[in-house]
Amino acid sequence: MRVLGISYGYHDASACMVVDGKVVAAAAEERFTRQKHDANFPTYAVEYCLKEAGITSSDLDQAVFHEDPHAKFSRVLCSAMAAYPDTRREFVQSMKSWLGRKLWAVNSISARLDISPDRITYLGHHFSHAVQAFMGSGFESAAILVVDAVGDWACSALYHGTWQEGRPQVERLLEVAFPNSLGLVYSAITAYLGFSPNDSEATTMALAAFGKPRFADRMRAVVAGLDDGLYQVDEDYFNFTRFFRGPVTDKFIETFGPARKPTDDLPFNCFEEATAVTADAARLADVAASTQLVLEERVLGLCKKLHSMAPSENLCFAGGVSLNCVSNYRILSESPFKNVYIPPDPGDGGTSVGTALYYAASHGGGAPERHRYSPYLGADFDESADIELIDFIKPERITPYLKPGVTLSGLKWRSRTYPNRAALCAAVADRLMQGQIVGWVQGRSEIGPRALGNRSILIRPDDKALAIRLSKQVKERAALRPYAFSVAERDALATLAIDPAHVRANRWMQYAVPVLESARDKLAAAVHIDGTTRPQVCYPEDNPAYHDLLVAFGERFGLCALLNTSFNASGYPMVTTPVEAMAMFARTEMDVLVLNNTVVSRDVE
Amino acid sequence: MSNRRRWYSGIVIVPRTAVRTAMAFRNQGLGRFVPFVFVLLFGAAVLWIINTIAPLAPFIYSLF
Repeated sequence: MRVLGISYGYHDASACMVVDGKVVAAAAEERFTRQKHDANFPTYAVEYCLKEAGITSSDLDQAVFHEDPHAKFSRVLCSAMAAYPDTRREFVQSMKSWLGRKLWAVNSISARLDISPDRITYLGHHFSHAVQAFMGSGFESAAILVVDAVGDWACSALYHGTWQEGRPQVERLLEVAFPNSLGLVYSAITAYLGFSPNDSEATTMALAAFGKPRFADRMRAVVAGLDDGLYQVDEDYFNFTRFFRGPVTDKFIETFGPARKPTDDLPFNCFEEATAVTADAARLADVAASTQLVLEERVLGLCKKLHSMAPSENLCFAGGVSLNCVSNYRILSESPFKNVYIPPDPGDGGTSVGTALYYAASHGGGAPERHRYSPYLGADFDESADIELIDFIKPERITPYLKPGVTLSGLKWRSRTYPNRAALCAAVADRLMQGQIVGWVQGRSEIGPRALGNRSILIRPDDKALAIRLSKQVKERAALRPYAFSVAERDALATLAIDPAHVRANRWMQYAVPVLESARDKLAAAVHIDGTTRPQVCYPEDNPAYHDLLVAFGERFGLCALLNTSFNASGYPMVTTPVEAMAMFARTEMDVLVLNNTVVSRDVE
Repeated sequence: MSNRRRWYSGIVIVPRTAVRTAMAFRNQGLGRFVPFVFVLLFGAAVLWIINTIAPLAPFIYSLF
């Protein structure tokens, strides 16, 4: 059975191909179009998935869309009319978008793929998240928590999943309906803090570490916890349905102070002592800290409620809020659940994987273990033809395109292909030890927002000055955002203050874990000011090439750990192809680019 | 049976979408919105037709 999962329409469009119950390919559209969070129909991602499976769209048995457009339209229409005529602009905009395009998603998919509409089905948005969380977990039975901004009507949902006679059974237990949304609250406050909503929530989370939760009680009144673990959002503080008026209301401003303009400087820095922190900047950090704390409390409340309804050792968690790694660690360490599974791409982009797997297993049968998948499902490449381009690259031609401040102009590019992985890793480890910035591109790209050793930029983890250079001259990254590190499994417990039973849960950079005091000097550039990091514990079976590099570096450094950040510049998605990687290498201060077994550098002859 | 899209598929989808939308409203206890939804859908259909035949306008004007 060949099933294509499709997700698009709001943000992070993606496609996934499942053949006979196994995921053969999955990718986000942004990786092909270079538009971050691209929401358009995933034309290129679908093309890639079909190519990877060796079929055409006419060979598909089924296409599965990740949300019910009719149910979602009912919510959009009702919320746009809820405060009419105040919401007349929102109403007109929503109706243009929905009546003109989004309501006809099945027709669009049918026309784009040239398949009969009878071969297209859809699942509810939160049900898609629930199966996304459950299908790859490998659990026979699990409680399932979904928390995101808003889907059809639900904003948070509790499910219970089991396997019965080789088929998954996912039952809805409870839904918290719009406008009671933790995701919308967090996004609205992200916008209030001057960051981009639906993109820079991680910056809000990073800012929280610089503040104190002195507004927590006020925030608890905004997002009130109920006795049974559920919560209620006071809509008077937010413009969820009047989105043209800004993210928060005057009442929120009166309670928490004025919003920050996106162009205002914030004096916080992960690597240096903050100087001249104004009262206003401290207030904004305190608002972020209070928001983060209350989010964690409400998510833990939902876990408690879920455990009371579905007593299980296992929790599967998905939805946009499951990208909040600080909250995730509290679930891992404080919730009643023993085992926690968060899929590698737990946001909307990953729903294409879950829906396709669920449909395939529901109609073709299967078993929990069979449907597990790795994050390395994106496009592969052959670098050999692109490497030949280097002979034609004249350094002086690149100069006009250099990022401002970059001083590496005029150097000749050189390439060297290594005969085997051991030699490659030894050479790259030597360069890392010398304090060079290495772009590391190997095999298939990762799904989801985390670089897990196939599209990564790497540096030694103890050098703060190098990390600052990486932020300024390569990544163009806000100084308050911390870096994280990858560590080989063998050294995980030498670096992380974590229950040994939880080490394996940290394979995909999903938890903010405390770093051991004894390891902090060696990891100084990859630890946030609160002493935590978002580690990737790398197992040899997950990513053999990257694991070998970590070990080779560990032989020289004394610890198998590297600072690992995604291979992209601010505002862009991660690179996919060698040419995209070379373009970023060309215009930034990256010292070395590794494309599979070939090392590209611009050393002085 | 071929699973390719037929020329009439779009025509089949329109009433199917209208019915499913009405059912979605009813399932949420919002049945009273259904007539309004149909007015919106009718308006959308009229606008779609106008938009579709708009490129013919120069030709029609040229007849007079």
